[in-house]
Amino acid sequence: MSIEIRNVSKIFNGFKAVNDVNLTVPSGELVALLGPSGSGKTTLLRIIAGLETPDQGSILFNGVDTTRRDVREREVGFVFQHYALFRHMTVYDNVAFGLTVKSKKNRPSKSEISDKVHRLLKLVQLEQLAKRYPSQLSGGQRQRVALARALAVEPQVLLLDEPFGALDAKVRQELRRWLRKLHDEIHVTSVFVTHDQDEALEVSDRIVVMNRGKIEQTGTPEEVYDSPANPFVYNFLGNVNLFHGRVHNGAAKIANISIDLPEYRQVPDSAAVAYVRPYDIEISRTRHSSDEIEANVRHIQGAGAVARFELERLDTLEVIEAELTKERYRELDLRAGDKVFIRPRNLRVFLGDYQI
Amino acid sequence: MALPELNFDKTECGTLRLILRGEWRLVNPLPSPQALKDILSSGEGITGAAFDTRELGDWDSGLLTFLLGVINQCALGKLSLDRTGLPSGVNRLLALATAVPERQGARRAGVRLPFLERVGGSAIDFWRSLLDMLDFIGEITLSFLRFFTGRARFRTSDMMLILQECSADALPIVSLISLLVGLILAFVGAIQLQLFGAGIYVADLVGIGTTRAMGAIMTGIIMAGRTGASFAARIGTMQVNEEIDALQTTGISPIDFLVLPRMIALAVMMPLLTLYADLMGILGGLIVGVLCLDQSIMEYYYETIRAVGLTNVWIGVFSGFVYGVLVALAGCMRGMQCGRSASAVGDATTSAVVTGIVSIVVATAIITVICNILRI
Repeated sequence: MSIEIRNVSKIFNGFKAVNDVNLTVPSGELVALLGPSGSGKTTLLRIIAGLETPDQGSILFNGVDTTRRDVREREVGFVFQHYALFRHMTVYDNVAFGLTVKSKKNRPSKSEISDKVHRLLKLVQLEQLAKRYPSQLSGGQRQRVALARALAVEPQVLLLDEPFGALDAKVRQELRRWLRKLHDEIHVTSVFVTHDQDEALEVSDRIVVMNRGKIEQTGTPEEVYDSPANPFVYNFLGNVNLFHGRVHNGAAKIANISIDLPEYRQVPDSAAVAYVRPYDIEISRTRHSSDEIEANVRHIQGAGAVARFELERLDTLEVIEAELTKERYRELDLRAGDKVFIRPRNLRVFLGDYQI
Repeated sequence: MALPELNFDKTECGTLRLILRGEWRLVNPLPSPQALKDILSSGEGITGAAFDTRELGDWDSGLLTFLLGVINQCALGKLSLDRTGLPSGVNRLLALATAVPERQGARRAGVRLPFLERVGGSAIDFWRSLLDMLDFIGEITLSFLRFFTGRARFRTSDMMLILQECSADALPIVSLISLLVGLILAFVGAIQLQLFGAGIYVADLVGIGTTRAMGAIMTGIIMAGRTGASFAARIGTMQVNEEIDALQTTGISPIDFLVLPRMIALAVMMPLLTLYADLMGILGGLIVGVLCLDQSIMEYYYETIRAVGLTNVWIGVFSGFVYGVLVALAGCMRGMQCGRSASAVGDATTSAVVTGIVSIVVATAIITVICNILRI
């Protein structure tokens, strides 16, 4: 089932939590709503579920307006950040709950319910724990029970509110892959909220980046990561270094570097900021050309697949993060306090003095 | 000791050199960055600023304040600033000072609203809470309609647990309190009645007093503190844990599932508890009568039977029913209105008890007035 969000706004005590948002989620896709806390992503999800009513705009499921339809009739599955399992019921009862409380004429028979619950518990790999209570399970297991419970009523739409937010890093990683696999199996239209860019990049078909109640960019993970629409998206998806400079009739001067920017030819003179990913910073011990920037090595973090550097520019004292491969790191043999020459490549220049 | 001194020197390439001399300490009169602003507004062709501190003596945070002003001026005038001329210690301190931007609103002091605005705010809040209450009562009425047409859905096992919680579990405390209230009534009455040699009428006083009012009121207050608070805490915790949202997304009305069984349980059990409390109160009076007033048990018994009519008992039981409904209503309503933080649960329980007790007292007043008018 496809979801369409049209001009939706929601105001809490004068604060615009969601501000005129338009979004279409095609049937069967797994879409991530990504943004910092307070960006309105959870509110938007709750509006889709019907747990909040929008002040403006409408929600369409499969092209049918459902804005005024009650949560109970929307047939959505909702997975909460803190699981929200019913504590006085066993795992089995939790999953079966949505079926057993159906009115008599819609309720499946006892054996059908039992079959279905066991099938779902198998799907979430918790078959042997059916008789336990939620308090006897680990966080990851609880969240999988919550997912099974949400799926039991055969929802048209699956909504997940920071489903892995309360779990530790290792379990989170595992559950992410598992969720992706599960979605490939059952193909229910899913929207999930996260503030973790890695999670969004790894799991989703499409990412919707939100900030201050507005959508900044929508696209596949590659599109959003490789060509961010604006400085906010650039900064939010991974680490980034900022170089301040000026643009003058299509030529940018960033530190000592001159770049041609034909798209800004009509701009006579403006402040500009260049964004560079840490792995796009070249480091050398000797000066090769005049456009290199002098810096001091402040800190080196050598553990992991890449070596991370914290450098301090000598002219502006700004801190720059850089990443080098292990081989290059060994080749340069850098120590904290060494003086180096750095050269950014793949600069992405945005006009204005954008502050993050 | 050389006083701090600031001079400007404009080089050909458009860089303004700030020459700092002397001891830049807070105790000395320090030059202001304003001088720089004046130069910037008057002079043209300045594109950058640099420092010359070769003749700078001792310095402290006074210098840093000045330099931060200069940095701000340069940022406003979009000048490039070369900090290489500054002592390295200054540079490090500046980096520290500018590392974290000042939090927005951190300097704002608490504002005290004017009297009228506070009164108005409270009035609006009161009106809103009244509307919320009506809203809630309306939802419960609808839920009861669904219950009587057999469409409300809740778990019978939950219902049984709640029934037990607000009946059998409450017996010990209801026994104790009612017995003591009966004793107190009897003692207070005995002292006055004995003055007239009418000690035997203690049985009338205690019998009518407990059955008609005190039994029901005391039970109501106990249940407000015990069961009403626990309803609010239970439902409030479910609200915090998003379990109520989970219920809704599974297609169940939380009013049917959580509030309805609690309302029914208290409405059914409160009249029974009231009857029990009446008995206990009379027993308390009996103890005083027998032990202190030298009455025989049978004497006390017959006097009570003679004085206490069925009307009194019915009024007490009816009051008990009303209090049960009110306590359940207050508890469930505060629970459902609970915010999303852990502290909100505490507020909800407190508020449930206060609302419960206040509504009990108001209801008692209304029932008494009605009984008076009807002459029963």
